[in-house]
Amino acid sequence: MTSELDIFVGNTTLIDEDVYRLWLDGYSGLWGTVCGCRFGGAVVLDGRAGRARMSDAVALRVRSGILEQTGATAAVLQSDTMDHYRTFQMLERLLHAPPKLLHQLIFQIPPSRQALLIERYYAFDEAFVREVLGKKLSKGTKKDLDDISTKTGITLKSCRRQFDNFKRVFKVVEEMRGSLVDNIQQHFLLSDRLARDYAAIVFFANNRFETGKKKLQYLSFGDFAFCAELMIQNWTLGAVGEAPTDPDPQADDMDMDLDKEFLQDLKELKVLVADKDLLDLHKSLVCTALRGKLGVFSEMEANFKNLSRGLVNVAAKLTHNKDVRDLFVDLVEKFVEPCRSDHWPLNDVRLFLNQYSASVHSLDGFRHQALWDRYMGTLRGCLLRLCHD
Amino acid sequence: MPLDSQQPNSHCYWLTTYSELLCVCSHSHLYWIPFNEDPNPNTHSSGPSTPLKNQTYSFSPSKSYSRQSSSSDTDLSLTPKTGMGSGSAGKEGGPFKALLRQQTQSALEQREFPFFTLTAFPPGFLVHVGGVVSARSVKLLDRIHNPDEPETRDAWWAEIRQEIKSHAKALGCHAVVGYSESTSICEEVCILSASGTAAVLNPRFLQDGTVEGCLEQRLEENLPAGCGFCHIPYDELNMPFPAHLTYCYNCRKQKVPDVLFTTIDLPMDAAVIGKGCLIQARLCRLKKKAQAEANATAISNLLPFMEYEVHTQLMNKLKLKGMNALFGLRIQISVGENMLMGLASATGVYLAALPTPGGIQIAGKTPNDGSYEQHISHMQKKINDTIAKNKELYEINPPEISEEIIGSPIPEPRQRSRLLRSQSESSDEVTELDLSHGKKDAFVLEIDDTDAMEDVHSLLTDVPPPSGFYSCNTEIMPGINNWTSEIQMFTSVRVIRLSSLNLTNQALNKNFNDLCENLLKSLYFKLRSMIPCCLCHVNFTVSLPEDELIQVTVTAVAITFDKNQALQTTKTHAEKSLQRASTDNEELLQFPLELCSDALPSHPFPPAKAVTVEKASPVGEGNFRNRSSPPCANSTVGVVKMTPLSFIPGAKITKYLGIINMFFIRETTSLREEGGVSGFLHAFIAEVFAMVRAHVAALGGNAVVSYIMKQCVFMENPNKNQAQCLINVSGDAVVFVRESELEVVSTQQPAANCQPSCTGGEVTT
Repeated sequence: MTSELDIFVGNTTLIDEDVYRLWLDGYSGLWGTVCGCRFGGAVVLDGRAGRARMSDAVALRVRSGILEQTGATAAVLQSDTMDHYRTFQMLERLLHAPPKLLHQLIFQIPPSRQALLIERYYAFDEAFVREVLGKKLSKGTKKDLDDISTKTGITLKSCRRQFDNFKRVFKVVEEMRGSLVDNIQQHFLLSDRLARDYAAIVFFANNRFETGKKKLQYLSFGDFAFCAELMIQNWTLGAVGEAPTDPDPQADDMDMDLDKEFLQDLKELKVLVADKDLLDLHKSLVCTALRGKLGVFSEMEANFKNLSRGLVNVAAKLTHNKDVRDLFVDLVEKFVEPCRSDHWPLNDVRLFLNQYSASVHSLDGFRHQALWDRYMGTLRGCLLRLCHD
Repeated sequence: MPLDSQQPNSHCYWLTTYSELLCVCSHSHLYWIPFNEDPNPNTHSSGPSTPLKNQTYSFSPSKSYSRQSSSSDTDLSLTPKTGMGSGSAGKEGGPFKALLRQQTQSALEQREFPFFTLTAFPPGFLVHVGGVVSARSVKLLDRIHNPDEPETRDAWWAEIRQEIKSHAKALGCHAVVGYSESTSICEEVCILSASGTAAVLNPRFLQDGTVEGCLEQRLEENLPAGCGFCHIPYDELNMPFPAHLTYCYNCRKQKVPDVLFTTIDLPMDAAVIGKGCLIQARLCRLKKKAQAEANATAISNLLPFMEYEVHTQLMNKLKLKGMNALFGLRIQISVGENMLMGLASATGVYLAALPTPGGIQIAGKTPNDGSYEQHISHMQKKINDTIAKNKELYEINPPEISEEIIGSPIPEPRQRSRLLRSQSESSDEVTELDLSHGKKDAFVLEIDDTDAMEDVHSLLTDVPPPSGFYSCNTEIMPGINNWTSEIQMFTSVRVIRLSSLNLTNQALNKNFNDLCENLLKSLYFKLRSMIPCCLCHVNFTVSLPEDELIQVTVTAVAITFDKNQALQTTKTHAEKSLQRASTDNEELLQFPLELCSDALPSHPFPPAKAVTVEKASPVGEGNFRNRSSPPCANSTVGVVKMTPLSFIPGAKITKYLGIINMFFIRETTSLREEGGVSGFLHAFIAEVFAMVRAHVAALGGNAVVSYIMKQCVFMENPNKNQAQCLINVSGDAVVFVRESELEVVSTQQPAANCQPSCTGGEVTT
């Protein structure tokens, strides 16, 4: 007796969250072969099945103890899993454009379940996103997914889904004007939190920030997303509220690209380190204000010129795309690492950065106060976030 | 024969004059057969001497046989044979009975002969229920001379209906309710089946006049509530078949049988103890491949045995559950190239009016063998344990009634000496009683061969549903009244391929049994999130699309109920149902027939509240910008409920929008690419549901009731990467309003509620 066909269709589509997670995680629903080695003992639980006739997904469900809870057999579980997998496969093309899921007629799904389907489908693994963050979302990167899968332990299927999600979101919002987060939220119906994460991913992918270097490994996706949000808010065209009056098709995307003019202007900050008098004055202002307040005052005093040079030079270099990409590498090299080697407490870093940016206002010979604020305001936030172990 | 001259297409004739009785379900037709008042049985069911038989091969069992077989449902339960009764009961009955009978008879004669396909009736409509009557006939389709003309088919059906009619008459009944007809075709052989429940109807309902009037009269008459329909319609001294009667356990006045099988739903006012459960009998029989007449003969020879075994199984399983009545009985016999399948589904209940069923006793044939004896006693213990467990599970605790009140049943002249015998059980209190008394007679299963052994084993393999689950194939589950509004209608299809080598009847039976059991288990598992819930209207359909393929299709609805209020008194339930029935009658039964032209525009579309209940996504709705948001981003698709039942729990149907009857054919030439047969059919059925919903929504409705999948024919050719499927579904499009919202609606727009009846009045005048 072999089962040729076995289906279950409900007027309201049944969604099992656990099975959905297994499906998203890329576990096979078909009779598997790998499960024997990966999930060892679970395979022969069903005495009647005898052979290792159980898919990865079913084996995992068995291990969750569902058979004991419900008194079901492995065959029932297999049938149930396959039903869900078929449903998810049919839903997948709709999930590629979530508004379609809301308006389709084939599957009657309660709104809360629809939200869950979408949110979970677009959720991603921290480990995976760190691997591709800042990389070009191209075919080339897609070819590397094999390695990423091996490295992270995430199934290739799941890697592909996550990568395709990034790429899909990127493609849709790439040409759009307006707030990046809003655009993503509107076209993918994601929660606010997830939409912000996607905005960061898109922003990084667009500007190709380098995040994979060894010295950046200690940073989490959250750190980068935080920086991305600050940069989007302050350093892009959309940030300054310069809604382009002329409908110029060549105009830069408002939220995705950094404000080129601003980057050009940053060269002007060089005077802060190039002019020796200004540098000395700046240093004395900062040192006077912080004397007695810093635990690492002497180290700060000794290092001030190096740190200041580092920060200003980073700004001055941002005119070149290559240097924009290395922004985070430079920041870590020029600021985070020196601080770390001197064991600066986080609070001291905050005090120093506040005083360092504020003191510039007292420099009479310096004319680019607004530019400095736009640069340092964001950078201060980023640096504080980047300063951890 | 006046048949054809009077009504050229008489086999499915709609009786419009009774629209107030018809109305609710789309699949409830009232068959109307012109009945020859002086039936000569020979013309219809004798051997090949009639002109018909010259053209067509027909296995139509001889009259005496078929009566016996069709009444075998009761026959089995009933103790020793007393010989065949005359069937012309009624003359010696009580004066009231006789009067009633006369009235009914005149009313029925006036209306000729009614077959009701309805399964639920207004309270008081059913006076007595006699039992299941059925008839089958094997025909050869290629013997029809002009297949385009319906004459031959009409004659076939007329023959079967006559037989049904005579069975009903033998049971002292004038009408057949819960009547249905079906066919199973394989190549050129066709099995025609009909079954129904013989009943005596209240003549007042059949006279001209409103239903309300009858209701009032019924209440005045003060008929025994909750047990009247169980009382035997036939004369106890002149019974049509051997029966084992006792005084009704409810009213103690009239006689009742010890077991009652019916094809109808449980009457709303019936007194039931505990809960009911789905009972299935499953059977396969191998058959040699043959052609034409040889094939028909082979099938004909197998049929009586199958019917017998199906009934035996049903009876055994019923006893195992500790219950005494079956409702909604549907026996399906399917014919394939090399086998016959029988699947009977029914809902078992414990009727308070009927006696407590006896247990099941196993008797071995060779009592000398020690180990065998041990095995027998072990099995006996298992069976007794199962019965005890089931009684607990289904909350069957009938009150103890002393013997004196019940009175002595009809004496039983002799014991039956067949596989099933009736014997007195010598329980402690009744040891002195005469054997022939047999109040709590046990069922004796004699396991004298391997077949019987298998049967006993299969009895015990049926796993009860997990706790919190109930199932029935009737509209509602007796004993559960507090449904919530959470419903989930579903269709499940399974096809298994039998390994063709060395198939025996036993192996086949086991495969089929496993198939059905696993299917049920799967359903319980999938719907576990709805616990506590009940699968209602579980409808199994079996077909044999190919040599080694068995296809089972199940459609049912799972309804969650509130466990805390699960126990309500039957009285309030009856009252409630009475109320429901009366409001139904007043407001719903006279729905306007000309909907499309006038009613719809004048009547507001579905009350907006009902449609918008479950719309709109919580996901970032507030974040949508009006600039490029999709046109209906804020109004997602309205929910359309589907249910095979005639009602929606917790809601009131405010308007019927008409019958939906849709045929779909889908073909693919890229089967593998679409996920194989499962993927193909899964997508297709999902789309069928979607199309039905869309159709209903387009009519302005928000639900389909009485939904049924009439056909699901699936064929595949994997080698060619092809598959085809035909699906026929039907139901009634309706507008419903939640009861919680009803008050709001009625206060806001009082016109909405009275409008249907007004329009209805216009139509009827």
